[in-house]
Amino acid sequence: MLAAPKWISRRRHLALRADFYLGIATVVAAVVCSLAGVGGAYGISLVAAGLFYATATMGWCLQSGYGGMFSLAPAAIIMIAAYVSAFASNAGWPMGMAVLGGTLSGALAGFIVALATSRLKGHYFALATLVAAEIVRLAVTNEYDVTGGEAGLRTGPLFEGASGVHISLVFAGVLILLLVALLAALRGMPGIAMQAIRDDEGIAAIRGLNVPLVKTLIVVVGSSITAFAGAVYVHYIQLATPQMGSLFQTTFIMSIGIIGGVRSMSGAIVGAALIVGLQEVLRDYPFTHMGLTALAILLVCQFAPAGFAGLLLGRARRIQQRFTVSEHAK
Amino acid sequence: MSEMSPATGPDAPRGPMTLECRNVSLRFGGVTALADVSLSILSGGITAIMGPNGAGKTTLLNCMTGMMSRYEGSIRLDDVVIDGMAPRRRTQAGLVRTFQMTRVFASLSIEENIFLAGSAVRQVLTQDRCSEVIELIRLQHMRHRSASELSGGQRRLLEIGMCIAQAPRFLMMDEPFAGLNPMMVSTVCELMADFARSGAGVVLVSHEIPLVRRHADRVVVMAQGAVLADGVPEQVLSDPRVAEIYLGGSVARH
Repeated sequence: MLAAPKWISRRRHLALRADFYLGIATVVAAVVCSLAGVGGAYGISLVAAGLFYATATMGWCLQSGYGGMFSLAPAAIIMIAAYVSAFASNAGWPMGMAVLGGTLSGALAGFIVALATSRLKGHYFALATLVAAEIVRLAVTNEYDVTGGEAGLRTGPLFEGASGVHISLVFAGVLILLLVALLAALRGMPGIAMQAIRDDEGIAAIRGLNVPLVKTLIVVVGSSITAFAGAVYVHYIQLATPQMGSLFQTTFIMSIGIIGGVRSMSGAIVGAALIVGLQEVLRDYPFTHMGLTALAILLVCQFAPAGFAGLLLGRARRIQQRFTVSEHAK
Repeated sequence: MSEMSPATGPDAPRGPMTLECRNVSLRFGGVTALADVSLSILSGGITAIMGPNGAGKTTLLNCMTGMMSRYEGSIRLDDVVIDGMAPRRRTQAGLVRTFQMTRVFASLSIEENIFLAGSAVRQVLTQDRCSEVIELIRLQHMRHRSASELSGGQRRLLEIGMCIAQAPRFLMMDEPFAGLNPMMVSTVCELMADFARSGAGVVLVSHEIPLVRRHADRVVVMAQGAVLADGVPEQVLSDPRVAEIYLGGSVARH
């Protein structure tokens, strides 16, 4: 079922390869900026935050874009993973185990929500995830004795002397691994199956696909990616707070995904670069920034539903076609 | 066409098989959709199910393929009761169907549609088999086009190709000729006949009396959820009760 036959659909392969390289190029550019110290300490922290959002959004895009299950809970997943990772490392766990624990807890949260909402679709599913996210956030806020409430929970760094550059390198490495894994999966049966389920879930089941299994897997994998981002990032800012799980964070991740392109691998990365960049350019005009982001989302939804990455890739494909004779025209 | 049989896949059906409905009934509120239908269908031939609109033909297919599961009575495939089986499992057991309103995966290419359908059952479809199926449905010139770019008739052929790729034991076709041009109709008839000859069973729901007369080995006429007549085409289609309820007076006189 997971075999990725090489012969199937050259068109898909070409599109995925361009998408893959766009993602890699953006990550490499970010790392180069970080290593070169562009913008000083502030620039470095910006790149770290951008790569964190790119990773978190990639998990959300997998679920909402490729999987077609629009979730309003990515921030809650980040928050859960951040708290678990912080608790575990504060309790003396080795850092690797703490991050793994945070990642798994996010995956488990995603799995539970997937089970509870297995019969819901579309906006009903979105609402259910919103409710689940708010319940968790309120619980974290109010369980003052355990979580420290609004003040948050302090924790240590990823390792002694870890800087923004190191954090950026960790996220960049993981992003490249994810791009490689996604490329392998999307060009084969999993990619075709996901697209089929998005087209017509009912007929996919009748034709013999195990739809609930595929959808649950997508949610779990997507949540794990998002959770990993939170579990690492909390050791960069060294503070877990309920604000990490706020609806504002969710909308921030959604804007990154939608503007970048929810159904392209590089969408989350390109979107994070754009949104975090825009936020900094307009740092002194917060209202202008919000207005421009909203305007950008409206324009993208209307004129470029595949997002900015989709726009770039479409342009690249047209240029490529102009110079090569289409191989499947015959 | 001759050297390529539609059912030469890795799991080509072997020996005669039966699909049997025993006292199947289904009610929607006060409406009786199926009233105590008992029917045994043998593989290796084409069984046509006819009847006026609302007679329960599609509903019967829905029950057989598990899309409707709240029927009374039981359905057996080779003496194995399949009532509790989900549609996915029934497909894997060899009960495969097409739809009155064609249902293919619009954003996938023809090749991907065929590949997915074949690979969702048992093992991954090979490239050779995939090309073979695409040739059977005569869409090889557009194998990389996405299904959303196809005409209605081509989509219907694609859907049939997806079913063939699944190497079913019983292929159920719900009005496969509706809206097809004459050339496509003959392609579908050829596929259907080859398929039955290869040993699988074809269940054909259709109103095309001349086609049914020519191709079907057996005709079952349903009315108001029950079996009204059952037998060879000539005998059933000249039955006065069938003429009255289905064919209309003027046809009956001929």
